Amino acid sequence: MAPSASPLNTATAREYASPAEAAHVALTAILADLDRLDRQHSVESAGVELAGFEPAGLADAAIRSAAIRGVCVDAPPGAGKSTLAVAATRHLTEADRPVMIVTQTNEQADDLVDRLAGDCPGLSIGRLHKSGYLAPPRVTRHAGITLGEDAQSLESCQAIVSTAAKWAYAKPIAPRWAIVDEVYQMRSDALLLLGNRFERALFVGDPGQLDPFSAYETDQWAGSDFNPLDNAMDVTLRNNPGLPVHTLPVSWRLPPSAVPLVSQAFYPNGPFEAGTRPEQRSLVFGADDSGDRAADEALDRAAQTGWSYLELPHRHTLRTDEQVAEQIARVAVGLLRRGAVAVSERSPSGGPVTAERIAIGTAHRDQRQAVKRQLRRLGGAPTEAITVDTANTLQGREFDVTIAWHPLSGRADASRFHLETGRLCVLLSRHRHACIVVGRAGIQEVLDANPGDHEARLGVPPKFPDGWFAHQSVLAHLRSSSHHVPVTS
Amino acid sequence: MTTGQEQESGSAGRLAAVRGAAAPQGFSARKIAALLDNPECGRRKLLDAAGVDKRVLADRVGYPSLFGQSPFAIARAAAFAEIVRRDGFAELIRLLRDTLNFSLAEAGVADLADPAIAAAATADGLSAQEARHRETVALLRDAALGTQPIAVFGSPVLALSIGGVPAYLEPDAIVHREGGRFTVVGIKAFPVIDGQAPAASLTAAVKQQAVYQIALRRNLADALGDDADSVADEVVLVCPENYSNRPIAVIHNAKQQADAIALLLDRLGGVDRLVADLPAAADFDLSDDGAGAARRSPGELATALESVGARYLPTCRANCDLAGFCRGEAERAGSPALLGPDVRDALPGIMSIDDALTLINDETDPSPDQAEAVAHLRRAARLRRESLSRTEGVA
Amino acid sequence: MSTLQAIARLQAYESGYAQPITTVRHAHIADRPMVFIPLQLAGQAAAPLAAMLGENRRRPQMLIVERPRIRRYRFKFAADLAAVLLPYFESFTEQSFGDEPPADAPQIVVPNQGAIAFTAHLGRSTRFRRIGVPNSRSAAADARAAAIAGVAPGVPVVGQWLTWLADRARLPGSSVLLAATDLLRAHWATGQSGYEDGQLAALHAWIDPPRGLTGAEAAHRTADPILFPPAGPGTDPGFDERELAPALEACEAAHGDPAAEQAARKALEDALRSQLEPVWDQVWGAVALLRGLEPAAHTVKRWEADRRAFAEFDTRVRAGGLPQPRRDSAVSSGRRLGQYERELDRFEAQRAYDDPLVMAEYRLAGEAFAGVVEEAEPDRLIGEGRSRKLRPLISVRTSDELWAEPGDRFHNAANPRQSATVVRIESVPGAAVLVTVELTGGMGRGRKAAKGTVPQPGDAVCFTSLALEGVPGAAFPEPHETPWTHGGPPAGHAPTEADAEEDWD
Repeated sequence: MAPSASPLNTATAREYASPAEAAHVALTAILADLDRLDRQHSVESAGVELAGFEPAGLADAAIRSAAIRGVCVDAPPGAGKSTLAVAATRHLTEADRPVMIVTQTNEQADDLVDRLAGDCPGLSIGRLHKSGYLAPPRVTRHAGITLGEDAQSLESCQAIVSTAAKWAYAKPIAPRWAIVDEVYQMRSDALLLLGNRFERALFVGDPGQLDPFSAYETDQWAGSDFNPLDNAMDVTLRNNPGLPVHTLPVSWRLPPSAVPLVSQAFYPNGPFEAGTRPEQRSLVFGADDSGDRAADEALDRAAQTGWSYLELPHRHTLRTDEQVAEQIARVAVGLLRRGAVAVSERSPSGGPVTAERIAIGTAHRDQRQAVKRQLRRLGGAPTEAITVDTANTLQGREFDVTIAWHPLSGRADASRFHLETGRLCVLLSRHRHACIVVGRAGIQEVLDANPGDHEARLGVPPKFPDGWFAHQSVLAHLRSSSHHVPVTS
Repeated sequence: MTTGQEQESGSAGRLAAVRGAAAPQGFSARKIAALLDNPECGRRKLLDAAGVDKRVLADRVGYPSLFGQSPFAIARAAAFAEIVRRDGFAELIRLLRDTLNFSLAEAGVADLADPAIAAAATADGLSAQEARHRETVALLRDAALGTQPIAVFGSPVLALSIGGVPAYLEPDAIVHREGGRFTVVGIKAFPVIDGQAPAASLTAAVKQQAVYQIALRRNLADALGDDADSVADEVVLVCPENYSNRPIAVIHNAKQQADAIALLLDRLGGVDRLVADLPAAADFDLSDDGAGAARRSPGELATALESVGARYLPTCRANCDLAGFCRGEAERAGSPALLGPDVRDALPGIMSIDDALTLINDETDPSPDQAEAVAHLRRAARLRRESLSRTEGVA
Repeated sequence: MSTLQAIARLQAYESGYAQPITTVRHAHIADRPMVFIPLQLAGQAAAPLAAMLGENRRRPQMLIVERPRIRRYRFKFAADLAAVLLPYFESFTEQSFGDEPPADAPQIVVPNQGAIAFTAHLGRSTRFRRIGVPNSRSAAADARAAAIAGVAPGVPVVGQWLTWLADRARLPGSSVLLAATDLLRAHWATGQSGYEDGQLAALHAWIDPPRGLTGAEAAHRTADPILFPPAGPGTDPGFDERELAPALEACEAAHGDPAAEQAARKALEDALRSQLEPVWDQVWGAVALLRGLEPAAHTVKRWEADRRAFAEFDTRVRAGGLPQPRRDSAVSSGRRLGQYERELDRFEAQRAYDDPLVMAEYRLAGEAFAGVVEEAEPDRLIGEGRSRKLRPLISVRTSDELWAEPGDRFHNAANPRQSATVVRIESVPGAAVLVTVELTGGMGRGRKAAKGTVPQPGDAVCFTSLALEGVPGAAFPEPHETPWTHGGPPAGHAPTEADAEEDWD
């Protein structure tokens, strides 16, 4: 979770007639900043004075005076990061600026290639990859995509897409514009490895995601402008304080039922609105009964209100609490058995919520294993395509319905790991329709007894929101009568 | 209907009875900030609210507190504070202007430690602290309203109600920027070396200043009637630079700490219940009967202590005078807390170390709630046995 | 901390004695370690007060600062420290070593992490000094230079070495600067909390109590700071008040009167010795305990890396290289973190491969499994023609709880170059599973496996997901090529006059 800089050029949805208009205004402002940087750049490279360059506002002045070389965009969950990346790629390549696109995972790279090829016919796309990479069908189905293990062989492509890790090892090619995606997930040392491959860049990311981490724990660089453990966005902004920071104002993923909580609890510095109206999203079931009363009640509640909190009786447990794992599996199985159908602006007549559209999120890997085991036991093969993963792995992904294992369930205390704001935020912001949280009673007491260590470091701005506060507001919301489903055994 | 006022004084009265005839020990900012360390320890909450001197109490029940401050540390801190304070805070003003770019009104320094303030007030029947607090509030108000250009308030006295118990707090200084906000300043003797400060000392200092921020906000709100947006979230710390005696001013945003402490302060109501639950005969009277004999025997005090639940953590030893007593209690009970939170987490639903051992060694059967944890523990014990015997065989 | 270590703590509590958590020693203990116990004056980060140090347990050397608030005496302490440490370092470089690492390297053992931090402070406050001669830039500068003219030639050099030691101590698996508490905690579990293990006296008492006492009893006694002074660098506040303050005052008062000075110095030394001697015995006790353990196989390799690093730094110091900068630049912090992370992975893997008790932690966590081979197909070949490859299959019966899925890769703990890809996992009676894996590598070059390289039915085997060799890191730009995202190329870090003359008071 990153401290947010004061956003510039931010379009707040409230000021516009519709969320779509607000989003469009934000996108236009970002593309205009790219143009300004580009003009400044070409003027500089030509060695010409800036005369004749008409400043069009504050951003222009800032860009001219401080040799601004990047544009930053904070994008809350589902705010259209990919749409922005595609629009920026098209915008730059149409002006004859080749781009390199940096993603954090191969999955993300393939997704972007797919989007680019679909939305920009005629664009020459290179997919730079490591040896042993097998291009998935969503890449191979497009013509005009060149695959290659070395960047030089792809240099003629207008857009080259690869992961940060691959770019770091690639042989140098002529510097080009960069679009760095999921930049809050990227460690600053990873950006340092490729900083010389581009002269101008668009940085896009979700500030509510989990901070990058290292198995090597150290505070030796705390407060340094170059702390390699900090995320790439924070370090770039600290070293280039004049960079314009935009915020995308609309979430197209989260339903109207989720936006107020997620926006208030996790994005106090960059609030956003839902892109859809309540009547556009609904979740209905073909059958009323899955055989598990608690699961059914939680599902009904989630379908009605967007949230439910299924609470098992209080008990201290191991991390791999089998009862919680089982209850989660029952909810997931119930969702499939009851034939859930999701109605949305994408499918106004409703689409089935298949296993592929369901995710289960946990804090720990062993919890993930416990859930998988219970799914196999209770649901068998039909549940195989359900995504079960830790919050870290679920970052950036989207589903119709998610089921989250509350990170504080069954615990006697709350460590920094368990209180981390980003972990909770990721778990609660992956869904288009509903989120069901499962945990044990007693979390309120654990929170009250463990306010976190609030350690201070010179030169390290405190992060907002604080995880403890976010947990308190989320729990208060979940325990309200409209979402709370206590289970008495 | 009872008013909040009556409730407060009622609970304060009962708390005073718990303390007995001994003089109350006031709340310090440090003590309030310590709420963040272990907020749900009922024992500490009750004793602090009642103003019982935990250090003396620990001594009396046979677990003397090992805390102490070296005379060298005290002398160094005093000498350093003097450098910052002398000549009407000249050094502080220079640092604020030159390194933090604060704009400060000329010559506006108020020294609230001036003995004249306290002396003048005893005539009104106020204690020295009450008098200094009254003066502090009056001057803060003047500065806020712009009627008197005061830039630096030295040793001001702020008031804060802690669960109904009034406390007077004394920050090192408060500064007021021209046309701007109030900022709390702490003078600390830990060094800032190449831009870094020791984390534990810095955190303690920031939490302490956060408490002053809360008090300052509430006092200003009372005096001026507005929401005290006029207090900066940042605090200024003045520390020695590198290995020298030269002061350096650094700034840190204390909002997170202040928010957390404020929330905990608002939830301190639990003290009433703790007092109500105390057995009738139990109190913590540390006074003597006038003839040199203690009113309460060590045994009586220990029994009274045991009647209030504690939440012992090994780290209590770093921040509570009574940690030795609580550790002793945990030891007698064979509590898993004794071995630290990691071991306790490995033993969910198992209340004592002995139970854990008999369960692990297959001597007793786990309850259904324990079954999962015990199966895991037994698996671990088997792996441990196996791995140790394997190497014994080799050797 | 793992459940295995929780069990060890419970057993230590039950028995009254610390319990081993490793079967071998995972740190190198040098033939000639030097024990170094620094004390600091309370209230200041780097005000040296005294130190006890030396290579010989029976002949500790003591350095004291009789007027710790006066700069000249601090520099004298630094010079005295240099006079002990530099010859010790030089004793390992007497023969030139070309490409070969030196036969041995220095090893400093301190009581705790506090002493390592203090070592870093001492290094930081001395390495930028210059051996002072008036530089006539101005009268004031000359006066300052005169004030530090006492800086002996060894001072900035020992400052660089202390910095090197403290930096290298951050590297997982390095043994050039070790804290006794870390060494003991890495090898034994006590019947108290991890927090309390930070006190060397109590920790040592749990492991090696005096005759007639259990570890628990012996640890209980260490709560008395008079009998068991803290292991530094901070001194006991009670000692400061009762003994140290009067002794230092006497030194101040005696200043200028040689006979009185000597007496006061002697009294101060005696007082400080009373604080240092018990710690001296505990640190040497820790060294002896560790030496008594069988070294783990990979400690030799890690010590070789330490020896090479020592030789490299020695060359740099001899060539008059610049002292280490105050703070890392973007490039050097990135490089360092990469090195730490790679070494951490390697160290953790090495510990597990070297020690079944450490491997047990991974087995408990589902990241390794051990069992007995039930079936083997040692000559299995796959593919056609030239791409025909040897891929034996073996099936291992294990009762370890395994999370693996088909396709996951493991390594043979007994033959690390052999990797094993999970083909299937079947439940078998007796709360066990049968894991079938396909083996690659570590079998020689032919189409037939070299003898003994494919486990046979009945063999006990262990496979782990930990890899001994990681991926080398990508190349960072050179500092002068630092990109704009990280502020561009940094200014150089040659120390200035101001650095050299920095206050130390």
